[in-house]
Amino acid sequence: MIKAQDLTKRYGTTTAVDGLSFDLKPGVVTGFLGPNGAGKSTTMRMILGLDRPTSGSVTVGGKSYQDLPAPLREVGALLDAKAVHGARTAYRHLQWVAQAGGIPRRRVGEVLDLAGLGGVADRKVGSFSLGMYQRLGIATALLGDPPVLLFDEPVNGLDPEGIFWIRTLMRDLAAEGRTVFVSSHLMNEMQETAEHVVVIGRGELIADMPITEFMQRDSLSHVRVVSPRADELARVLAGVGGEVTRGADGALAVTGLDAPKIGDLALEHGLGVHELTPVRASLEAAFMDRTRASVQYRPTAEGDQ
Amino acid sequence: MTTLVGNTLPAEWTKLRSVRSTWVVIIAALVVSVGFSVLFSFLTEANYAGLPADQRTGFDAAGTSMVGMNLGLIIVAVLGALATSSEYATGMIRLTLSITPGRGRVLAAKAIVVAALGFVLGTVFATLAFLIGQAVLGINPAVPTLGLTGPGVLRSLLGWGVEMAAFGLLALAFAVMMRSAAGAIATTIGLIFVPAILGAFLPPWAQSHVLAYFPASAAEQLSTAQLDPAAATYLGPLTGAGTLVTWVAVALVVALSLMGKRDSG
Ligand SMILES: Nc1ncnc2c1ncn2[C@@H]1O[C@H](COP(=O)(O)OP(=O)(O)OP(=O)(O)O)[C@@H](O)[C@H]1O
Ligand SMILES: [Mg+2]
Repeated sequence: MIKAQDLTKRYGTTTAVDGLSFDLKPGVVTGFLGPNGAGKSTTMRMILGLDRPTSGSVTVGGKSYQDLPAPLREVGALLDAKAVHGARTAYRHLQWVAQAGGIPRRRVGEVLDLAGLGGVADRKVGSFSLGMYQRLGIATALLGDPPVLLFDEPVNGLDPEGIFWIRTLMRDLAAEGRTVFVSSHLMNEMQETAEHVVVIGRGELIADMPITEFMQRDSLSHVRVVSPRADELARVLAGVGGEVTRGADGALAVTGLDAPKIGDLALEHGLGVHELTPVRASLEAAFMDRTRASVQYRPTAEGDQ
Repeated sequence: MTTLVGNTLPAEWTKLRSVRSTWVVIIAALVVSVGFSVLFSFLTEANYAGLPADQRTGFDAAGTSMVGMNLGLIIVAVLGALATSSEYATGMIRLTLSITPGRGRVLAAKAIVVAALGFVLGTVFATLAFLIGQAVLGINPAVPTLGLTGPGVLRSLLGWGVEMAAFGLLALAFAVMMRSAAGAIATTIGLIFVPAILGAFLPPWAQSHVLAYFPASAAEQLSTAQLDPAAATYLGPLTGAGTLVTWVAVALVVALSLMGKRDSG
């Protein structure tokens, strides 16, 4: 639905996005991950035709954003929830958006209720809490009932209940067959929501894959084994193809073998085991690992200039 | 398919009327435009006998009853600037442009709303000031007064509508160019007062060849009922209107080209 091809954006001498290509599929939540300044917001602005790419292109449903006849019905976006005029009521704000986008007026009441703002529709937006701003931004994005949704850091400043609400909402929207693209630098947030991830660092693509695959880093997913006869066990495990490293506390970190296999092998060889724990890599760890690598591969980039 | 008339225009009108500041500014413009005019009419009527003889022989009854309009003009220009600068200040312009990617259409809708509002306010304020002012002047039987059919009166009333619309549009264009209310308002006020302040100090050729073509003196050719063809800045209503329209058109074209070139408008 959203296809970026060799997308590049430079602001003066800063390269915000660098040769980025991806193709977002409908029906899944795609997480857009990257550290601060990686170029996530810039990419989203280019998708929306707000910032013009220096080179390359991005299309929505095969069309350039500018050529969409009624963009609000095609793409709903939440970029910066606080970028609204505080002197207007929530209702009036959504009313002008609906008018501009060709959406019937009754939809305004519907999205206000959907976002849990029905009771504060006539309050000035300036008096809203950050969470209420986010809800208003999401109501705005949903106004046109669009098949494509872009959210830039939607859980920013939300309380746990709000985070749960957005998670559920995003998954529901994807389940309805929509394309949902959500940026975040909160990795564990994506772990709960996204099925697919596009990861960028310094504007460049680092990974574009299912989230499970992204987390399956050999060095990060392992089985933790504590044994009084660790040395002998390590030799046994290494003998059948396991990769074993010894931690500072004497525990073994084993990759290449799963926990049941390790337990069976230990029993077979009469070696006691006090602890046997599969450690699943957190997205956080996988992310840190990948983005650190992306920086390491270009150690002289800064000095070259 | 969304359109200028069906979508963008109503949306811009909703934006403008749904913030209280718009109405505060309109009421302030009304008070200043009409209030000062009426006050000045009272002062003139009471002190008429004390005026210099030449001011009494060529007495400008229409101009006297509308002196406050020039101050109201500044306030209406502020309205034009606020109509867009607040969107740049809050960042809401991104929402506007993502709903309506055509920069030209967004600017056209804003311009139409500002121009229509400026025209209505200018005409209504001028008419109120004129009618009340003439009644006040008439308290003193020695003061010659005018009716709506007096020489140049209707042109003057509509001329105020045009002048307020034009300065609202100039302020709008400057606000888009500078993305700042303060800069746009300062520039517009400067343009309004340049002729008034510099006028007397410039040599006659500069007055008639340069100053006359500034927007405020060009607009005066429409909004002043009793024009003096001997004045250095005299252009006549038609040339004045053409000059004013050119200013507004150039300003809007520059604003549009900047919107097209800049990221996020
Ligand atoms: N309008 C702009 N002018 C100049 N530089 C910009 C502009 N917008 C972004 N940048 C730069 O481009 C780079 C990418 O910024 P961007 O905001 O896209 O990152 P991000 O991934 O959204 O970061 P964050 O997680 O902090 O929101 C940064 O170095 C930023 O300073
Ligand atoms: Mg960002």
